[in-house]
Amino acid sequence: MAPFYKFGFFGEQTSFILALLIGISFGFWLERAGFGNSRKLALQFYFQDMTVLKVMFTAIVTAMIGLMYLTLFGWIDISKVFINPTFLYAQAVGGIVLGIGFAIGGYCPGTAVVGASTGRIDAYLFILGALFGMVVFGETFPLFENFFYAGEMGQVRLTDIINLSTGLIGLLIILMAVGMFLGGEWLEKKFRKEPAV
Amino acid sequence: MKLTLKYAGFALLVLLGIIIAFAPVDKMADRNTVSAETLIEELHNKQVYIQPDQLAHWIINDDPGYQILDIRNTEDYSQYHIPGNVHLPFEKLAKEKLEGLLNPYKITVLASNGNSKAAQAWVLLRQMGFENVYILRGGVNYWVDVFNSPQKPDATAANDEIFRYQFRKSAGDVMMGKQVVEQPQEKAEVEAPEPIKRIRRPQKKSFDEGC
Repeated sequence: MAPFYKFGFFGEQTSFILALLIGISFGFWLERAGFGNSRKLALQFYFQDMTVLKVMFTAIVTAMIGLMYLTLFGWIDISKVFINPTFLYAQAVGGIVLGIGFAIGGYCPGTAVVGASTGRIDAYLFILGALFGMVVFGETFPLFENFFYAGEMGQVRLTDIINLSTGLIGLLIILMAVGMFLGGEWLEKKFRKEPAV
Repeated sequence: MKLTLKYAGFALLVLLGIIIAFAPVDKMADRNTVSAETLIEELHNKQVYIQPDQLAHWIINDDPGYQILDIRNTEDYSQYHIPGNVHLPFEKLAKEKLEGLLNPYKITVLASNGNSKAAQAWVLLRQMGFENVYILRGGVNYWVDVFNSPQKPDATAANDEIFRYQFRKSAGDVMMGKQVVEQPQEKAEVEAPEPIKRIRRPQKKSFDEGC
């Protein structure tokens, strides 16, 4: 039955409209969760406010449980759901670069747009910087091209690498998420100096 | 520890996790999900055929986005095959073999002797999960007809047809694997060199999905 678009329940134009609506609601809830505020976002790197970690793991676990149960009921064809291909080394280095940028600038690309929509000047500067970085990357791409594809693994999931069933991995991720929630709050209590902004 | 809403939530999460750990998720996910009806409908309604001229354009342009899978038997294959292709006889089409041979991100063009074997192979490949699979119209026989002895159109034919004829004639030697010899006297016959048009690929539009 699902994914609806791949099975032709609606066409390309409708999918654009739906994407717009989903995108607006995504941005709205990010803003409401306080993700438009670079100070709040940056505090996670000092273990003072772990909201980002908690929101991310809530999203991961919600989506994962939803997908697994819908698959179990036969309502979604998981093979048709798009998975980003993995380029292990390139993505590891990319993650570090993004993390450094996040800690310095206080935003990740998506939250910068959220911050900009409420008129935060630092968010506008962050977006300008990101655009500049894109131009530089694009112009110097031939230098990185080999590394850009380093560690290609195709569209893999955890089940393909560690030989466990999808359901068991689901349980492990849930336990990990619960551990992250509790651990995050423990860290907050330990490091928080002032109430979160 | 007080039983707050938070801990109740954690308990619910873990409970859902334990249920899913014992549920046959993989079995449900691995079902063959492309139904026969969908495939037959696609074969009839959608454009799954590729014209020889279009494929020739890709070959000439060195387009990196396609691959040809020749499913004729070894004897036919050794006699003649379209330049730059992968060979695996129809009888040996198996998922394990194809996964090593074909790049799933590329457009696969199936070449057979005619249309029917290729259509069967098309259904097989689609069920194995290859998405961008097309059939070379008329197979290798028609391909050879087209490029070995293209039919000269009438003088009254439309420009399109004359262009197509000129393209087939000039591409023919390369496609048939003949040595291309400079023939200055023939050049006079060709009125204008045909501009090589980039033909839009019939690939399904894939969005750049993800964050």
